[in-house]
Amino acid sequence: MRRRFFGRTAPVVPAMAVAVVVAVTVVVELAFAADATTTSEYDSTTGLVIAPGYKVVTAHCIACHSARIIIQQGMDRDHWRETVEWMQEEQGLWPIPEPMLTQILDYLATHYGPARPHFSPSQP
Amino acid sequence: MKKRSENFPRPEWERGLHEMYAQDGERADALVFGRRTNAVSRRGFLRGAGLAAMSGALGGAAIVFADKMPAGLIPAALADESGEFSLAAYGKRGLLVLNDRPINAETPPHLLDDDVTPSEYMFVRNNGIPPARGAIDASAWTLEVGGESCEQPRTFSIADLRRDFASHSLQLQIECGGNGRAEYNPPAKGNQWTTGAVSCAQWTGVRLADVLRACGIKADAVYTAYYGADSHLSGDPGKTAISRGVPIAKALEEESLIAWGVNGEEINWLNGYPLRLITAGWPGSTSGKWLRRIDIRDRVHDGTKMTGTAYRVPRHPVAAGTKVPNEEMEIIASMPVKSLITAPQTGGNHPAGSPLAVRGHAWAGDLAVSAVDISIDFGATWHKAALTNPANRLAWQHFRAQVRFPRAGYYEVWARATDTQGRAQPMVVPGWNPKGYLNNRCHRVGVFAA
Repeated sequence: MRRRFFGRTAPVVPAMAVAVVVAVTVVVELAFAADATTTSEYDSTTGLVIAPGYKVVTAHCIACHSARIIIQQGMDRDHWRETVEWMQEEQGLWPIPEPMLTQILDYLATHYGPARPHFSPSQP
Repeated sequence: MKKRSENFPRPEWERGLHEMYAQDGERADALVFGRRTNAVSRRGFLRGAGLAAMSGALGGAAIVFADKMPAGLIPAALADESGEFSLAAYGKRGLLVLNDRPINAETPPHLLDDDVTPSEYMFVRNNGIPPARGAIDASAWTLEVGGESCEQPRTFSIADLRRDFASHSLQLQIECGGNGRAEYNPPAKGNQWTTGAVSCAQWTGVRLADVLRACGIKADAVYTAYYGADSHLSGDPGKTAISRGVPIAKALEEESLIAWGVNGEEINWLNGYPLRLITAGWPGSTSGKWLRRIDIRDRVHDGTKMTGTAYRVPRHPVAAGTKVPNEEMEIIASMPVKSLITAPQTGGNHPAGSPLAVRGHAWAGDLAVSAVDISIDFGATWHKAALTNPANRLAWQHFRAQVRFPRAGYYEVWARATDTQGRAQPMVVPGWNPKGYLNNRCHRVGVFAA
């Protein structure tokens, strides 16, 4: 299923100034177009964005809870890692071997990071 | 504006009904509707079990030939609504489902317009999996009271509670500690509640104080602890989904109830049927559902979701995104002052120059609300709304105002409540905290004047 996302501009990373010694200052602005301005494709069962890693996430992350709690979040990689560790220490999640753990964290941090390209609450 | 439904493709929850019936129709009957059928004919509704629930899901229509209806048959009227099923079969209407496992759903502001919140519009907040609806027998339900600081542990049936103690009916507001979390930045972990994890219904039960005193409260008592019949998401019977409590002083307040009824009916299954605690004005998580046990503790309760970051906020204000060590966090007590505009509904049209009625509710945790002010110019000027007294302590107060938009254009109606200690709602999101609790920013609704 293909869906478009409306009403959201690309999240912009704060301008990063790079001083070059040869008397010129070059300002580089990084803008991540990500999925926000293009068309994203979503898994019709879970609602997860279809991108590298989503099958691994599906295999490991929705045995106890549904994917809907995942797609509401906006956490950086460290925060996602802590969350996975907390679930392993306290919530009964099994050990996740490499390279799958890295694939899961990469996927979550990319698509469900603080810029929240796939989420907006219902309020004005 | 992007609609939530565009964000959330048809979820597992909405397909769940069909899958449950496909796997085991009779089990689905029991789980979804509490239905039991005649063991021999496998038809009908044994002693009426589940008939009311299934009729309710069909919009109150009578199932005329109910005695002929085979077990495990999903009503066709529901089967046809495959995409829209959501929480209708559970006696809920119009809620936005944030999560389906565990079930968490909030109420759009305009559906909270009633002075007393109907059960069908009451939000649903689960940490675990509720006990199967069909497996709950209210007549056999027991409540144990014990703990280190209980002199005489006892067990009560619901009939015992009704017989041994005076019943009380009170309008009591319950708000989830995380209501408004969606607005924090960086985003805070958890369900992204906007404004609708709040309700004020008329609860009926006995005073928690009466029951605890009947069991004897030792002088060293500090805190209560509740345990419910909900199970942990992992299915591990050794784990507890949630077990919280309140200081003894809060437990002994006249408004703290052990309730079996709401609005003159039994409690909705998703809201704790057949028995729950109500400790109004504190985070909803202190009001335990499917209540099986209360302990009187000689220390601050250390159960699941009492420690770490759960329902706790930094002792001192922190900058957004700060990592806060657990020992710098403290348990949330009373919720802060807040209000909700329930009319007009956001995004509507209204003729310029003609009066528009604005109304809603205000509450202030353990306190009362002393004033509600309304602005239609983004907070530049404010005008007092008429405000009712609460029906009883810890009940919603209702406000009304009339506004007029001077000319065509886009306006926002803002509401700002002030509590009896002079603290008002902030116009911007208040202090960031790691789990995004206590957002009491002014509610605002958009109106197009034509």
